[in-house]
Amino acid sequence: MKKIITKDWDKVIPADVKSYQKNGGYIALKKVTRMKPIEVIEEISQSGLSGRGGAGFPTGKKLEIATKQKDTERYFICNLDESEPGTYKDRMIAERNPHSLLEGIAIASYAIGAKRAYIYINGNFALARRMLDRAVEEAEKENCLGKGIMGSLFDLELTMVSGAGAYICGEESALINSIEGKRGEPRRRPPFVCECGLFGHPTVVNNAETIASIAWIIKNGAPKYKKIGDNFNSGTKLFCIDGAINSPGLYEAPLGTTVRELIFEFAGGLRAGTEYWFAQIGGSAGHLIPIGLLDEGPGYGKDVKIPVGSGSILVVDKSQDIKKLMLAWIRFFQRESCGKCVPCREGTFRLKAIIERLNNGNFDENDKEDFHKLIWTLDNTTYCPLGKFSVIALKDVVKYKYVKELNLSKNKSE
Amino acid sequence: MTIQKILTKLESKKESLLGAAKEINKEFGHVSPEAVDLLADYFDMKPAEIYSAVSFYDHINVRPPASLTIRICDGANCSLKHSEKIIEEIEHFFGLREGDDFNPKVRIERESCLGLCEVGPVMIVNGTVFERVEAGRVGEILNRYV
Ligand SMILES: Cc1cc2nc3c(=O)[nH]c(=O)nc-3n(C[C@H](O)[C@H](O)[C@H](O)COP(=O)(O)O)c2cc1C
Ligand code: SF4
Ligand code: FES
Repeated sequence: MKKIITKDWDKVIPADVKSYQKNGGYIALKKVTRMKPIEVIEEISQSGLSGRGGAGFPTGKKLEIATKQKDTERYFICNLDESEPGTYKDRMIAERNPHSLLEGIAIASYAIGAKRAYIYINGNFALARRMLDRAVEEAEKENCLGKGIMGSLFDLELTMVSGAGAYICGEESALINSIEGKRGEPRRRPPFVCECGLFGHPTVVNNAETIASIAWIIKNGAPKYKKIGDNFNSGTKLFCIDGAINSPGLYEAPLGTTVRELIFEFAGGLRAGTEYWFAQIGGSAGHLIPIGLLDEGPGYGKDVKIPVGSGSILVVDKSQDIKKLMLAWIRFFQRESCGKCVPCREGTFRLKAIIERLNNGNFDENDKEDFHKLIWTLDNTTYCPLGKFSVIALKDVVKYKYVKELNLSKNKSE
Repeated sequence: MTIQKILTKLESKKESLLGAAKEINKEFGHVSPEAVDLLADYFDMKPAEIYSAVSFYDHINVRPPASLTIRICDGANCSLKHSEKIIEEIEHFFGLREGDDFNPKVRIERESCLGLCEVGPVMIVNGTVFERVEAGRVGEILNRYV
């Protein structure tokens, strides 16, 4: 099986720079410091690498937009806030091979001409934070970070910032506010953060998993990376698989791998005595996958049947109570709503109350009507995508008619 | 350690504010109004700006916490592994509902996914993480703290 990100996890001693170098580490960075920034961006663009933070935006393109800005004080941020329920892939990268992140950060920073980079890490990730701190220290000693990196004129100062428990701070503009010592509320766009981000300067924010593939691409070349995956999606993806399966855990698979393969070949298949009902992909903000879609490969782009999102898969068997699961989803979004806009702050709160009533049998016709109206409101009127996220799975529950109380009568359109 | 000592270790740059507030929270359990004033001085911001920022985050208290805080992950993955049953057990143990603040000594809180789903359900008692918690053994764990 083709592996890129997890390839060396069993070989390298985490945070040990010598061990990382022995396994081919920092060769790509050295190579890059002898290239023109534009050539580096070209290589990343050619590879077809796209953002693993959920939206799948082409990484090369993002770097390029930042370099087009007149302002030459630019920043690069590694997004390690990872708080999507069911997702812990970025934490694992930091714990198992932190230098692969530092190398990717250095390469991307070089490409956009950033002299300062940040890692914004989830405040719960104590071990990952320790690993990264140690890796930074060791990388500086070996001249892989800091002043005059590897004998070049490239300087990079890397700062670690730990979050303090807020899912919304994974959203890039909220994350930037948080680094600036403000409430972690999203900003209005435009301007986009690659035009005007941290402290008002052009800023590229990339997900940790995206960054962890960059050194491999530089070392092995874009064509080799592009060959992995399917026609629409290049490279590999990390999947955290959990639920009614035999071997829960983290797996790396080429994009294009079907959900069936992920469940049955990677995660050891369904636990004895359980029957597949649906899976949810992408955490609590993820879509539901009924049995009929098992042979699709999750991916990116508008036309994909299964958007991969963060890539975590929760397999739900027929013995589970979906109403309880609905409550877990909405509780999460209600708690994590930043409160900046009314439809999300109030909407998630009301929806939670309705789903509570659905659970204790007090759900009536009024609730049903309100439920559908609130879903529409959250889907269409919120300030940032969190509102939309909060109803993705609920919409699928309605679409697949998993809860009969929510079914719309025939003469009513959706 | 005093607040002044915590602050002198950090640069007076905006990106250090969150870290400073977390450090104060760790040392004193919460960020008091006096701490807000000191932070404001140090970072050259208004106290209202400091308060507005730090009160946003779950990991920073702006009021003194209970002496015993139990947090349970109620994320979807843990929920499928019966975290609700565990919450009920804890509520029963203390005779206190989750989220209530009647009891100054004990507080039970729900927590969003901690990324430990693989070893869930997860319960955190005063900062110590318990993995693969079984509802039947909740009492045994809690007895160590009361
Ligand atoms: C509510 C919300 C939460 C998000 N959480 C994360 C996160 O935890 N990690 C992440 O990398 N991106 C997260 N994102 C996406 C980021 O805004 C941003 O698009 C991403 O970090 C870009 O990196 P990429 O291009 O490498 O995917 C979130 C977005 C939203 C709207
Ligand atoms: S949708 Fe509105 S309230 Fe919800 S997280 Fe985004 S900005 Fe905040
Ligand atoms: S859902 Fe509980 S740790 Fe992730």
